[in-house]
Amino acid sequence: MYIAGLGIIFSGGRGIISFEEALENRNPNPSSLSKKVSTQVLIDKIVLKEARRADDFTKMAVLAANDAFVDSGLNQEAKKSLGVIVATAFGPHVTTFRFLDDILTYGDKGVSPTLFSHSVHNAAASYIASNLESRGPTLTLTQFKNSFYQAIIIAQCWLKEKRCENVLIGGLDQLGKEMEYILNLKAKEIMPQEGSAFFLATENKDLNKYCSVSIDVAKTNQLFDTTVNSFDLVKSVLLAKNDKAKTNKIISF
Amino acid sequence: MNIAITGLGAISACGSNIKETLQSFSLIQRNAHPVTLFKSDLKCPVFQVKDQKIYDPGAMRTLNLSLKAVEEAVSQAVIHDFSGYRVGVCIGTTVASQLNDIDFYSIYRKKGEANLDSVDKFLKGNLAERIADNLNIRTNLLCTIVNACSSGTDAIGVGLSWLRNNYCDIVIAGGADELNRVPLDGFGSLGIVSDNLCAPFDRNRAGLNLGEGAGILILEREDFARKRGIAPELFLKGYGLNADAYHLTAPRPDGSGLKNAIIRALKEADIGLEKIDFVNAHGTATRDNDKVEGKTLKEVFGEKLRFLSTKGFTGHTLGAAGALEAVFTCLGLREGWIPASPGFENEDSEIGISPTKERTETKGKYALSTSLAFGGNNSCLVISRN
Repeated sequence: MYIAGLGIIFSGGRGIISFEEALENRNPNPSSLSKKVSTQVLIDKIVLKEARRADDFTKMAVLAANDAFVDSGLNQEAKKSLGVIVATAFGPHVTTFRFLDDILTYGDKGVSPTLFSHSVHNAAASYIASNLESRGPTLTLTQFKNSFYQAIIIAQCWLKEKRCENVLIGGLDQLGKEMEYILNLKAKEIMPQEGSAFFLATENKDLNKYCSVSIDVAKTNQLFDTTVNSFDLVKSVLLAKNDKAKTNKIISF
Repeated sequence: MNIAITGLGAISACGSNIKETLQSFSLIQRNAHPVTLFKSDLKCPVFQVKDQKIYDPGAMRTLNLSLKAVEEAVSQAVIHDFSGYRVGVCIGTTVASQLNDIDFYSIYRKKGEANLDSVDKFLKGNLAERIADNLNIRTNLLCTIVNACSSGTDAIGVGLSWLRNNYCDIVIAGGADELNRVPLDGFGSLGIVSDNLCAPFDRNRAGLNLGEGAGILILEREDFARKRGIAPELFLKGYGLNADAYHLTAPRPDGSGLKNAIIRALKEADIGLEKIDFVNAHGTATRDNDKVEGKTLKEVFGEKLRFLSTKGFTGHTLGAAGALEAVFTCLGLREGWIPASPGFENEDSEIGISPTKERTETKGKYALSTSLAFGGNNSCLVISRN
């Protein structure tokens, strides 16, 4: 499948240009500058109009998904049948903890319905669909290590089965203080960060703006490290696009 | 390519296996009581599983429910060893994906630190991964779907896609969820939990009852099953998934998202809507869901449609619901009858059609199972028998 659009929210800002600037600054991992996405980055009165009461988890998703769609240059008509796949490790856990605050403070009968509805993992995908007015298939999935890899596999299936002509595939995670505390003790080897990266993928070669991405599913029968980070893929996609020596720009897993 | 369903497993408040489930269906048993798994100020009835077998004492309840249903389904599919097969595991859930451990959090917020033993249940509790581990399945096709109340249906749909694309030979697909204080309080806050037994599609319905359970299907290509010496009776023929793009918690009033999902699933099955013998509806007994779903089913299939809601037997089992109802749809086709829809008494004039009020014989070859979810997901499966 071909990558027609990119959108990214990371600790260094919003958008491909910010990300490329971070790469050019020779920072091997741009998002290592900070673990958190600035709240200033999540202000956009137009794109986030419908999601203005949503949590930061959802806002990161809506902005990156919107930017990927805009970057693709697809027309408004294409929105209607767009597929959406969101991959996350921990979901909107910050909102879940706020909801637990409600239970502990106010009891079972005093909790906020708004917090509850936004604590559900697929809230972000729902807002993306509403924001883009997309009526295509919408799916959210979670794995601690390889959720984004699974999302790419499903996107490949959807495009081949013509469930949709174009699909937004996103990796998304937030880092609340509770999760940071847990990960610091339980997964010292990883450096948790937050952010969101979305790819507009399509089978239409004419829409190819960056490169093609494929997963050799035959490999799925031999266990291998399937950790495919959405930020790493953005980096690879941008490098593939800018590599003038490469004529056959395919990223394979 | 025909995708066969060669194994079924179910556990819910209406039975810890298929046999008990059919017995509850036949006797219209409704095993709902106030929750005993945790303390709650909410006195509404819930559908809690009794005498749950513990496979892993350190695991979340949801995983133990899943493993019970997996054991039954794998046994029915006559699979003794998965080695040598290309296998995928795709499971839907809601509760098992969330770190909503109140005991951990109450200490953490007081002291800024807490023992993480209980968090381990979450960190080591990804359903697809743990089910694969339990069965010694080595694969990278592991996916846990979190599409709210359609998660189980969508997990089965993803399994269908994997098989159709020849990514694997067999898929363990389904959904599971446990009763938990967080969603109970959450649904309560939305004002959609009934203080009485739920009454899907009834004129006087007053909300849902929560439940718990797991439903598992073993899916495989027909040719692969036959090579194993299995003669499949049931087939997964189509899957539709469409977004409402309307509201986080309310269905689109015109039902067009559900209608589109039904059309897609029928198209994949390559059948006309007149072939559908019955529909196992989502039917949660909330005012909004049943109104939109019922009206849409009537619009699509006409007023003579036979349909049912099994939520009156199981409660709303969230991520398990679509999978359990897919299993129940298979049973309806295989056994030749569908049960009554417990709780239903009076037709709602705003809906204009009524679900089954008694055990009803089925003779057709095709049936549909529908799921509607938070976030505006509409999913459905077309299942057939030989």
